[in-house]
Order: sequence, then structure tokens, then C-alpha cells
Amino acid sequence: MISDEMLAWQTLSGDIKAFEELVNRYKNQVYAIVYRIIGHAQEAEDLCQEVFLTVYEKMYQFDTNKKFAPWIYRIATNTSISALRKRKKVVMVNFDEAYSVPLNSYAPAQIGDPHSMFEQRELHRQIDEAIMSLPENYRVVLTLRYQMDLDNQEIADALGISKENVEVKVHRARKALQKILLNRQAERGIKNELSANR
Amino acid sequence: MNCQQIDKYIYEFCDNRLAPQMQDGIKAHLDHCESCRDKVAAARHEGHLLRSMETIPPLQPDFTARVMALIQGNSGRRRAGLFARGAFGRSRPLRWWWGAAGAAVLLLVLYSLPLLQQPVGIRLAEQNDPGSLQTETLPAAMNSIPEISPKPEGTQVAESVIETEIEAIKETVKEPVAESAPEPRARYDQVAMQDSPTSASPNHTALRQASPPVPETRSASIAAAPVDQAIKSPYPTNPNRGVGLLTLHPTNLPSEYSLQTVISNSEQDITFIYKNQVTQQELSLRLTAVTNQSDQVEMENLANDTQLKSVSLDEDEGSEGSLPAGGSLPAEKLLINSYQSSMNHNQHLYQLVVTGNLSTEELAAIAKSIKLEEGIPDEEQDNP
Repeated sequence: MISDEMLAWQTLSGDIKAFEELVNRYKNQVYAIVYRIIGHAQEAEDLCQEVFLTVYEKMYQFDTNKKFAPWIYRIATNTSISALRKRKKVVMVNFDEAYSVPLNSYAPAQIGDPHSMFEQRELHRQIDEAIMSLPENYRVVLTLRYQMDLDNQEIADALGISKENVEVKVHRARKALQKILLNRQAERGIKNELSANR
Repeated sequence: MNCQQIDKYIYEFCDNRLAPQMQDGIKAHLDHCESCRDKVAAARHEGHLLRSMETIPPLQPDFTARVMALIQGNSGRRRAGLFARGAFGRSRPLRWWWGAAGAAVLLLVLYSLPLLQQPVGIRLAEQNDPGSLQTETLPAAMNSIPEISPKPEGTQVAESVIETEIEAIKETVKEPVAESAPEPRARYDQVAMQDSPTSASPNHTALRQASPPVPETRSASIAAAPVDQAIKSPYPTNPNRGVGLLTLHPTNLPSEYSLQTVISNSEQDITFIYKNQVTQQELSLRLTAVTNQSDQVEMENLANDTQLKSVSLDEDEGSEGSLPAGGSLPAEKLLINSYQSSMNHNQHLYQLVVTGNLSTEELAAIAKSIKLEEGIPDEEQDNP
């Protein structure tokens, strides 16, 4: 299998097929990053497209002696954050959109008790909602760490920050996420108690 | 390891990203701390949820095809790595003002270049109207150099007579100049031009650096160009070449002298600096058009076309009125002499001041050898 860096080099040499291969390899990861920052599927897809065009334009800046993944993640992150700040609007989870997508298309296949399936989906939805309510830099760090499965150094390269800073950000993001989940759990408990009392 | 440290490293521990020694230390703490075990269990559960979270809507199946279509649609104009952002529909709009600014700078450079390069000099006297000193302004651009047209017949006859006279003068002058012993070099910036209508300003621009030595005749250029019908050139201009360019050349300098610099003091005042390639002595020729009417009348009484009209032997101004108490001057100052003469060209007067660290006799000999000629400097240099 040809390495990403070799494909980048071939792209620079004018091989458009090599770039197509890079798009296929990275489109889901890039889309995940963009979506986590933007929070809107259609906008995320448009921005994802822009990310790849930017990658193609800036390919001459890529050092083929380094890894390609952090470089493209960094472009994806910067493009997304720039777009978010440009719009200057609060990003909220579009629940209608999320539920309009067929669940089986992006939820893990569940076989078994329908009740547990529902609970699993509900849990994922809560996590997703909690992540989306985090600040954008926390969302990016968590996405790179837990969805891209990058180590701290790779995240640092992607975000242009130090490895220690990544550790701090991951820790704070996790703490913030935990707090949100606990708060929502507490709210649901109160609601459940209220509904039970009725 | 205590509970506070566990809290600090809990997520790194759950993700197995700590060093083995640290992992073991935390495990040892968890064996006897129930609250920390609960925290770690909760963190692991969250981590699992984060990893298994796949609630991101999928990309459209034709995403790759659309990206490639956009790239290939623009590949005719640009290639990877060679084009800037903004080439595509969804990219940032092209910042047109950068292009406009670049074009403005380019235009500025293109227009200022001819101004820097064009020859400058005194305004050339016009042949057909001797009553007034005709002037011509600088050419708009060097590109407007016309082809040399045949000179009028009368002019050719007059010039042949002049050439004969000048040659005779030159023969008498050549020997003393050649035999003169080289004088110590003087500081040229101390030279004071005599009776110059305009003093040299610090803004004078050196226009031309040393040109390749031309045998026998050294010529510097004083350029002037007709700009309208009222100002007529002695030579017919080629209408196909636009504005004509005429020049005055102080010629017939001894062959050792080569032109170093031309300094334009004003449109009617120009200085040529020559250097003797053998003795390294410098010689300054300052040519000034006489614009004062009374001066002109006085000069015309002596008029005889292009012949040396008057010669005055003067020492450098620095040697006058500034004698030190002892009555002696620094040697190098005494050696800077000026020699002033007037010349006629096309029945118009020009003042010539020859300055250098030569004796006044030598300067006079050089001044007598000089004649003024018209021509096109670049072509003369190309074809000496």
C-alpha cells in the first residue's frame, strides 16, 4: 500500500489519481473533525470539500518527510474554526437533522433487545449533545483523541500546540464532558421524579 | 500515589497512555481506594462511549467525485501547489485589490524607468530661430529615439569648416597636454565652478556610469527632444519614429579621457566628468546654455560659428580670498583649476567650464580642442 506521503508527492507531480486516493482515505476523518466543530451535516460536508481543495492547493507546503495525517487534520481544524468564527453564530446540535438520518446508517448495529437498543442510542445522543455543547477546542481535542485515535503528539502536530498542552486540554475536556453528563443526568432524575410523582 | 494524583492522570490511565511504571502505581492505589476505583470505572465508561460514538451523519456517496470534479474543472488553469486560494467556487473570493495594487506598482515602475534612464541636458539651441534660445524638453521616453536623418546641406558645409579649424587647434594643443606631468590627485568635491548660473545641488543625479572607452573622441550626451511644432530641430525628425532626440556632444577630448558620469544640474546646465585612464586624473566639463539676453548679445559680437569665442584663465575660486596667514595654499587646492570659455553652436551661446587638477594651460588646451556636436549618443557609442 502506498503511503500517504508518497501519494502527496505523486499529487505534486501531477498525478490526480493519487490525490483521489488521499480523498478516499481521509474524507471520513476530515468530515468527523469538521462536523464536530461545525455541528451541521450539510455545512460540514461543504467545508470538508473546501478542506480538500485547500489541501490540494497547499500541497506544495507539505513536507513529505513528515506524516500526512496531522497536516490534513490541522487544515481541517483551522478551516472549520475559521468558518465557525466567521459565521459568529452559536453552534447547536440540529436534532431534527440528526433524527432525520436513518439510524442504521451511522449507529452501530444492535442486535437484541429493542429496549437496550433504544437506551444505547439515547446514551449516544446524550454524549453527542454533551460534546457539541463543549467549547470548540475541547470538541476538536476529543474528536482527534477518541475518534481519530491519535496520540498526544499527533494531536499536538495537528493543532499546532505542545504535547503537554494537549494533555491538559484532553483532561479539561473530559472533566467538562463529565460535568455536563452529570448535570443532565441530574436533570433527568428530577424530571423522572416529577413524572413519577404525578 | 494519592487520590489527587489519580485524579490528575485518570484519563491518561484509562486510555493506557501513561508510562508502565505510572500505570502500575495507579493500579496499586486503586487496589485499596474504592472512590478512585469508582471514578476510574466511570471514566472508562465515558471513554468507551466516546470511542463508540458514531452519530456523525455519513458523507454523500459522491463526495470524492465532486471534489475531484472541482479540482479537475480548475486544473486547466492551476495545478496542485501552484495556485492560490480562491480559485474555486467555494473558496474565498479572490482579493482583486491585490491584483490592482500589483498592477499599479508595475505601472509606476514602468513609467518611472524611462525618467531615470533618459538623457538629460541643457536645452538645445534651435538653428532656425537665432533670436531666442530655443529649448526642447526632455524626451518622454528613451524609446522615442529617432533614426538619424541626413543633415541639411548647409549644416554639413559649416561643420566641415569647423572640423578643420578644430583639428588645427587640437594639433597645437595636443603635445603640451600629453607631455604635462601628472599632478597629484585633488579632491574633486572641492571644485567650485566659476560663474555658473546655477550651483550644483546635492540632488544632482549621476545618470551614466563609465561607458566603454571610445578611441579618439569622447562624447557625452546632452539630450533634447522636440515636443511641438514651435520647437524645431536642426535635423528633420522621422515622423515614423515620433519625437526626435537630439544631443550635444563635447567631443575631441584627448583619447586618454573616458566619460565617467553625466550630472544633470538643470535642463540648461549639465556636467560631464571624464577620467584620464593613464594618470587617473579627473576632468569636469560643465556646459551651460546662456539664457541671459545681454550676455548673449555680447557673445554674439564675437560670434563665428562653433569657434572658441573667449578664453579666460582663472584659478580655482578656493585660491582667491582665502589665503592663509602664511600666504600659501594647500598644494592640492592650488592644483584644481578652472578654465572658462564660451562656445557657439547653431548661433547660440554656451558657457563651458573645464575644471580639473591640471594646470590652467592644460585646461585651456583641452577646452580649445573641444567642439560641440549633435547626434544620438547611444548610436554613437554603439558605432564609435
